[in-house]
Amino acid sequence: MSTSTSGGVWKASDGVSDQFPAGLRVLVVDDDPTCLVILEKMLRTCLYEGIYGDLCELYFQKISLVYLNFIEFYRGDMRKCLDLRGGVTSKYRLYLRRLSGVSQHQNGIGSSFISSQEAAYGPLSSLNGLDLQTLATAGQLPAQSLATLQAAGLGRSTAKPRMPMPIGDQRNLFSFENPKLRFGEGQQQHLNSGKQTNLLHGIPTTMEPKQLANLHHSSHSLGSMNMQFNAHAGQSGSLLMRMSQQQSRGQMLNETTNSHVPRLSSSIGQPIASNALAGGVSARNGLAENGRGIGFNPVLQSSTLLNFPLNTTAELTATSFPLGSASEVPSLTSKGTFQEEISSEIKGPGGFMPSYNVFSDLRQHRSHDWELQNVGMTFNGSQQSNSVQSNLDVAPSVLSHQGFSSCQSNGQSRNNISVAGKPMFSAGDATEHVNAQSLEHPINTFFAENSMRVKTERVPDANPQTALFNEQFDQEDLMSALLKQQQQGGIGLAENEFDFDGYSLDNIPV
Amino acid sequence: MDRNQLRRQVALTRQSLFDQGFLDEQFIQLEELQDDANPNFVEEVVSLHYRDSARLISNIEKALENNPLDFNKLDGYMHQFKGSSSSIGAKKVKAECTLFREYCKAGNGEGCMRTFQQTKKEYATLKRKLETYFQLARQAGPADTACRPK
Repeated sequence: MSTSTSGGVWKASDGVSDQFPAGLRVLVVDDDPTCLVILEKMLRTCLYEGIYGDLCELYFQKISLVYLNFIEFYRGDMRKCLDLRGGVTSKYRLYLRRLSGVSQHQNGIGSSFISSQEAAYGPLSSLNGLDLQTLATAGQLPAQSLATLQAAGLGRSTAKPRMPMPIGDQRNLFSFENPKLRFGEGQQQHLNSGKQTNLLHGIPTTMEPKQLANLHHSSHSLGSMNMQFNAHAGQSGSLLMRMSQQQSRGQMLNETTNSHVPRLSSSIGQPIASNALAGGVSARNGLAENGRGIGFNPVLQSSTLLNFPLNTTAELTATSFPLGSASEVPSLTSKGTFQEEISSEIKGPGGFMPSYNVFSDLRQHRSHDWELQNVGMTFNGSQQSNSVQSNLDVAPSVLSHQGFSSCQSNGQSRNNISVAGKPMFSAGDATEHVNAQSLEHPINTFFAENSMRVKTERVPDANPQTALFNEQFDQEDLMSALLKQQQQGGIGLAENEFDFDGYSLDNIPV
Repeated sequence: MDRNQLRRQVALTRQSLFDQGFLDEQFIQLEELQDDANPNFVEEVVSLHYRDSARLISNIEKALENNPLDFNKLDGYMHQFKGSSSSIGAKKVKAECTLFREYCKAGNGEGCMRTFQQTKKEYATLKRKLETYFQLARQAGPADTACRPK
């Protein structure tokens, strides 16, 4: 591993922002212990003031918390959506059901849970765990859940492998039991061929236009969490994923959802500690069902360097997850919870701000317009208006309804995707910027491509984010492996791999 | 030797390692990471490297015993080893690794074996020199932070 930057400080010349947010959490995974130790030291040096506890532990902890939070977020969010949106209550309920049914029905629809309304949503295509995750991340994480998760996460200091939530019990999104992330495996055909990671698993991507229209109008700012996963490939074969979640100032979903980092692994693309683990997770269109950006306060900002097969450093750039206010540099609280990071971003090399456009992937598959492109996952806390960088508004629903509709209509792939807009994103990713120009396009952008690139599938044009998804997929597998390993090794990662396919909301303890 | 002399000795030894091409810039990066919180960071990293790389060397050796040689595998092992070596700034070792990989790519078994012997030699030499250096440094007491040559 060659350190091109002295002191481990990122330089602009590295291709990532020279703003190295404090509290950035980096998950480093590599098969070379020498490299890991060096990186750890470098990171400590950079994050020293904000980080408590053992970095590696924190990293893994965050990963697991991210996933957990994601789930919690999702649940909370959906409930909230249900509460807030009478009109879409049923839809969301349906969605929730569908999600819980996903685990049982890998092939998508067909769950007994699915109500008659389900048909309206079309096949569960591309509903993968990832989607849920995205939603979760994008959405608000109930404070309570978050606290729970964090506590659980923190509790892991006892070095017991842990997954605060018994996720392993079920096939839920983060079910780590499955050996590999299955994003839409055996499911949606929509999903990109290959191993694309459909971040937006589980997100109903098919929705009747008119249904979506109901969801539309969200003039709420779409707080989107941008999880930028920055993953840099470390030296030979190691991917440094930076999952950074920046705390979103704005409407944070909760105090802090920490780390959606875990999500990185899958939806984030492959969990690689690489560059973009941190990064924003771009919410796929599907997520933005409500058209509401959800302000998410990314707690997790850690860069994890995962040794992903991908040797792409560029991918995981230190994008920050602008969860919450981008302006707020996540400062790691002493509690070492992910909370502080939520608004920040996570890592990979380049900071962990995983940003990926979760929705973009969905978009591709969606047979209809349901496209939750901007699932409020911009970490920058993008306001519903369009500021890409705005803090995530905690929109009632993660789903960006508006985005959806807009996507539908014009098929602009760029709509609704709000890029965290921060220099944190690795150059080149700028993928979709949220077209925040109108309310119609709620911002939910997510994550800059930099980080875990979630492959965004932009139907109309070549979606630069697609690569993200692809990558993420690989990353997810890695992440799964990592998690497994972690668990075995007591790193605190959830045992189960992040299996987004089997996301079961019902089983997730709150 | 009094402390000052020791320190001078340490500095000279260190400088010679650079001058003779045993170490490169990466080693300085490591030194820069060393601080009061981790006063022996460099030594720890180097020790870790030597512990871990023994395994890699053994892998390569075993792979070189195969017949026919699996160049991909060899290349892979060497890639790992090279990465680890370069992370501590082992310049000569790294150069040999590069050469080895070239031979792998060319499918030149003879070249691989020859180069590997050379790699091991450089590896052992550097290890010895660094051990001496660290021992001296410890004797000299907490040293000033390594500075980049101006």
